[in-house]
Amino acid sequence: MDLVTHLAHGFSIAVTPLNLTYCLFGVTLGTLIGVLPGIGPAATLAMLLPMTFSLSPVTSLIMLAGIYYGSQYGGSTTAILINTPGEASSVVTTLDGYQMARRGRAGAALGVAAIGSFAAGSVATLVVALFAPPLSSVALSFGAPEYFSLMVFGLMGAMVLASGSLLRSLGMVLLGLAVGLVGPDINSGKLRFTYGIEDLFDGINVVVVAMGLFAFAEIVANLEHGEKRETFTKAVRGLLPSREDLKRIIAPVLRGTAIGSLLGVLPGGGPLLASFAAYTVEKKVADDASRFGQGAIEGVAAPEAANNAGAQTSFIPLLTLGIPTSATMALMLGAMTMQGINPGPQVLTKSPDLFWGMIASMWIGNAMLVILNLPLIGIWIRLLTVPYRLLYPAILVFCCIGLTSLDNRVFDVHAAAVFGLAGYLLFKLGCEPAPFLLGFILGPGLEENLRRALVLSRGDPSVFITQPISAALLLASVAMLAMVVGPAVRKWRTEVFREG
Amino acid sequence: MIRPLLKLTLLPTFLTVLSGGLLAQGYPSKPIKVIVPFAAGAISDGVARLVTERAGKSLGASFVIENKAGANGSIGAREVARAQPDGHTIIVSSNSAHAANLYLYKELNYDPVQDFVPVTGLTKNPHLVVVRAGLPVQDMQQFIGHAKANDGKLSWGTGNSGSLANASLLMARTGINAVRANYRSQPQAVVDLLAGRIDFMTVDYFNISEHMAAGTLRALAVTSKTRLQALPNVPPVADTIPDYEVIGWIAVFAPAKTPAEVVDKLNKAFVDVLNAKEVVDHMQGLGMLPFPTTPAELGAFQKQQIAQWTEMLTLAGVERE
Repeated sequence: MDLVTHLAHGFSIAVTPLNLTYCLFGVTLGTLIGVLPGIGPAATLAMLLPMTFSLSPVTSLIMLAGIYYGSQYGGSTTAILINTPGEASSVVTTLDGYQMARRGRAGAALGVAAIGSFAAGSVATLVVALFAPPLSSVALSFGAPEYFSLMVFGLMGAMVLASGSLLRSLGMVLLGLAVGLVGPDINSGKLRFTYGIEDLFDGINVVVVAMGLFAFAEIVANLEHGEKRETFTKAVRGLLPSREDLKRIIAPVLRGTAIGSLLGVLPGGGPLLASFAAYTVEKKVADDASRFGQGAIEGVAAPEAANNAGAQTSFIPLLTLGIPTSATMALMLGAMTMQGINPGPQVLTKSPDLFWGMIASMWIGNAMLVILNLPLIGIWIRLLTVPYRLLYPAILVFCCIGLTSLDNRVFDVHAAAVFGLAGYLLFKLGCEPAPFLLGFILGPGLEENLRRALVLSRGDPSVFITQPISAALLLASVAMLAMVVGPAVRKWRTEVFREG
Repeated sequence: MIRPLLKLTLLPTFLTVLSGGLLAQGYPSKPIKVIVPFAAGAISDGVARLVTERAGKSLGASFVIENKAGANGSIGAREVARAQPDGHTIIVSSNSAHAANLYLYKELNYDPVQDFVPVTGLTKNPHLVVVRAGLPVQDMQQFIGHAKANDGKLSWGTGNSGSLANASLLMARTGINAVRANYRSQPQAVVDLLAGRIDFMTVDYFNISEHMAAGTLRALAVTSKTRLQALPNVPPVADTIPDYEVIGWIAVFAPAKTPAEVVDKLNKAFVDVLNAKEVVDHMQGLGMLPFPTTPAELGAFQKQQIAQWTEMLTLAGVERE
């Protein structure tokens, strides 16, 4: 059995004391930044890149990967206990996780999140090991029309899933698309919406937007409530879910894992979209959809499984094609390149130590994370009980360090502050920042692929419906829109989000 | 608080101006800041790290690399243009920030020639003319013939201004007419080339070495006049189109008015590194040609390159900003 030999080889590399140490360091740091709202894996990776020069490629990637999937675990803790996503990808977890906590089931929610993540992580590790080689050809069949349709699908999902009025989320998506256009036009190099400001010539960094909208704005919004936040940090007990809970979450975890594994591989997908999609699917298949948003355990288990699976399988396109699917993966690519490894189909054959060592370390790292997040949950909770007057300035400082470390520019801090202000305004207006962020991230790709598809088809728009994958994705988008606009679903949607 | 601090920082400036020669003897007296005007992980960043690590040993000083990316290298270049000319701030720049930007930006906030003194070249980075595996051509002659027979039917991809300029000049010189597809980065274009959605492109060896080894892409020619060690069977484009040479390059510059003694000291340290066998092999393995020069040679080369990049970008129809 080739796979067994390869994995055994991988484990032999991953368990060296040095690699174990850096794996532990990575997942611990990942959990920490996951728990702290505002600072995300992309910023952390950016900060740690210089450190990797003194490490071997496999050791540095083990550490960096650990930060990434570690943050998926940590993000849920904050989401459940203080109704604030620690990471963007745990936004969905706030819906039912926080409700569970309000009902005195914080422990079970945390337990389910960790167990779901671990199960998904283990399966996704196997998925990477099994499918990385064959999946490289699936990714290869994605050309410009397919990417375009995939992004349309993603944006439609973001609109449908946003709470509040559909019109508002459409507005947010469009606004995000517009801000995403800042920078050079892909075809002519002409600068757009830069107003002669040189720091805008390359567009706005996604980390800047995310930190402004999520971290800065959140902090300002939270300050309105003073110190009287409703957190459930003391109510955490009984981390092990009951037998009934476990029975209930098996299917959602498996579905979440499948969705996450699939969306993680696709560019533009990743953990955020995966968790949203998993949540919708759970609501769809549930006997009683009205439980969702009221503390449904499936609403925690499925998205948490999905975001962790997505975080791990997003390594597949990176390792097999050298295509980063997200900002974090782009930094991973940078780290590999700096180490003299050219991500591509040959990583597997040319650097088997790196490939299999990293995969084995993912499993080890996930096991470490369960320990970090269950028995040691008290430490992370204590972090959340730190008074705001200490916690907020600290987070802001960390954010600013992350922002300046992106490109060594103070401009990015100022820009994030502007987005923070905008985010607070949007919060006051009842508009959600998530569709904005997705529009911003997917916008440039949407435009680029639309134009490239048309260039390569010599101006014939029918490529979008004659290519089977593209056609299917567009059809699914239309179906999704029709469902939301349809009266029955609109009613259901209103009910679902009434709580959130 | 601020005023005394200001005085303290101004004092060394004053001393520097007075005693350029004296300073060179004690140079370097502190870590040397190396601005790389591109992101960590970019090719110029890799080259900078490779050479400064070794040059630091012979100079007895440490180099500290700072990535200042943005606006095609302009932001980092401008910072160095305005830095203290004492040799403790230098830039590892490229054909973008020190040649092409003169064309690309109408209002460049620095002068790539007047604001700097050349130190030494580091590498020349040629491109390869690469076609998809299924295209029925084996060499440049056949390629030109095939492209002309299928006028306007072939598509080509580009993911940065270097490849855009390169392919545009190639097509202008050969009279090929094909449709251009733009990508955000070279690797994305390579994927479409692998999948056969585009027919050809020019790209550096580093981005496609894996695919060439796997036989999924075919390199027809290299755009430097010399062959790459790694690809002894790939002839220069100049064999088919006389005198053709389009290369990217990476070179070291210091702020204008940096004392000549300091420049010479830096030049010697870097040139020694570029002549070391391991460095040569490492660069060749990545498809780069070591490019040691004297400061004067680099200056002359830069002027010639500014003219060439202006011509190529005009041909490519790139709009000035």
